[in-house]
Amino acid sequence: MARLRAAYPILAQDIAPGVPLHYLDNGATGQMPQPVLDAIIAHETTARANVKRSVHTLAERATNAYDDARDAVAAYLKVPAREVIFTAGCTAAINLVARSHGDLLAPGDAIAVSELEHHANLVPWQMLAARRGLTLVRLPMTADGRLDRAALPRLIDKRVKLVAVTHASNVTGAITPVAEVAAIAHAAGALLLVDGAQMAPHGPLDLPALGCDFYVLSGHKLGAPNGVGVLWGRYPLLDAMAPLMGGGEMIRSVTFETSTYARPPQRFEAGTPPIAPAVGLGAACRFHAALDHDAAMAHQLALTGRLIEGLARIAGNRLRLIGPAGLDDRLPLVSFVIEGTHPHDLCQILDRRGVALRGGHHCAQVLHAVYGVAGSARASLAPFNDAGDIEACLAGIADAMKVLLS
Amino acid sequence: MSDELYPRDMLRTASDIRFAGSLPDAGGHATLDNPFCGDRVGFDVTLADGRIKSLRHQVKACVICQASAALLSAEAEGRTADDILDLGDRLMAGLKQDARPLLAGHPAFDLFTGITRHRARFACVLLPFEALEAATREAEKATS
Repeated sequence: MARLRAAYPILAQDIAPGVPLHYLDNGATGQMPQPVLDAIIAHETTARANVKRSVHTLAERATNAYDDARDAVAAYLKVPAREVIFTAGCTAAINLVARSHGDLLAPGDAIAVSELEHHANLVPWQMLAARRGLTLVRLPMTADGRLDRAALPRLIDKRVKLVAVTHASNVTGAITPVAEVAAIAHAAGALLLVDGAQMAPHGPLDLPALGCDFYVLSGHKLGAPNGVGVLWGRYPLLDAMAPLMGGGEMIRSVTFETSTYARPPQRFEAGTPPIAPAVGLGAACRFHAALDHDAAMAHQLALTGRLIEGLARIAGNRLRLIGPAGLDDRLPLVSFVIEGTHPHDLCQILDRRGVALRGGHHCAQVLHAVYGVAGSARASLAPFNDAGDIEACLAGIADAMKVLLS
Repeated sequence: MSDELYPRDMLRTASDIRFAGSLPDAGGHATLDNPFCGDRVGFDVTLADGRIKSLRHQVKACVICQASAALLSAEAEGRTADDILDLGDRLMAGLKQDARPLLAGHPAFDLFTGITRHRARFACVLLPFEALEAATREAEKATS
């Protein structure tokens, strides 16, 4: 993994004189490896043009690069390219489904959403429920921050037309058994949307095997630029949806009075798309696909275990983990509260040691409310992290406790 | 003068008007635009036993699209809408992969080998496939 670290130029810097960077906020934004930077620079310096309009050479190169990026994402997800829609991110992708598929739902229908969700996978459904007269069904979590599978068959009944769950919690790290949820949802006649923001950076996916109907991911968490994400949907579902935004690129034909629309995915990509960010996302998918993710995950979970043990040793009974304590079926991220300290104060002091953690509610206020806390501190790992990062984090926490609890 | 992108055979094929026109007794009709340039292709079809029996096209489009419409028209008899969809998908794959032949079993479509490096023009080749598929689906719906 040492060689992998060298692929990330940002990690080579000292964040302050003599203070190396220990980046443990990968759950918020993934860092960009050199091949992604190279792809973007190559695109912007040799192929920058609009796509699918002109036929000059630069435009051809840009069109090829954009289509290649869609192919790379499709290969990463094991789906046909025509089912891959580039969006501005996960939030935009979920809002697109909530609006365009949501318009097909009728008053009295229900949408089931878990307590674990990021606000991006809750608020759009609240807005849809208010707009269309739908019921929002709350899917509970267990005490250790996992989706409560036992409760699902009772709560996902015939009224429920769509279930929205995260593939892996951005707070607890718990991985959702998507195929099992899909089977329950489909048995009730509901579709399943899965938020893959946290899961997608941890290796290629097999969406047909997961059995979901919609899947969303965010480019920047994969180490691509900001401003690009993906909505995947089964083609007949996408084809039944009206466009959310109108404009160039998404039409088939326009008269003054009316328009007809292109087929998916173009139907949902109005206007000039985020071409260079998409090129970066394609490069990020190829970069991640080339990693040995079994080895990478084993490495990261070993570090996760070391972090949890260290926290328990340092904080003792002041430590409260917001999520499972074990290493099974989880991502390498750990959220925690140290009684008597505020997560932001903790993170501020850690920053002096070059340790980047996130503190706050992580856009998951419902989850934190269930735990009875306002926020938590979170360390989220990537394959490039090493034992030095964990030791720096633990030393920083010990320092912070001396400062804040003295 | 022949050209890699516009070989003489393409210009000759584009001027093939055997299948141009309309069918007064059409069971299905569809007109589709190329959303990127506004080119327009319409097809009239009649079916027999659920398969294309006769067709006519109305093409206001570039040379590549005209040639594609002519080639497709000559090979469409006896096919269903799903067949046309499959042909278009396979031709698209051949174009993207720069395959030889571009469309297995249909060597005439190698006329388009010069455009495999010009992805913006793939839509020109495929528009007739989309329009014929749509017209055939409409006819299938009318007879079902």
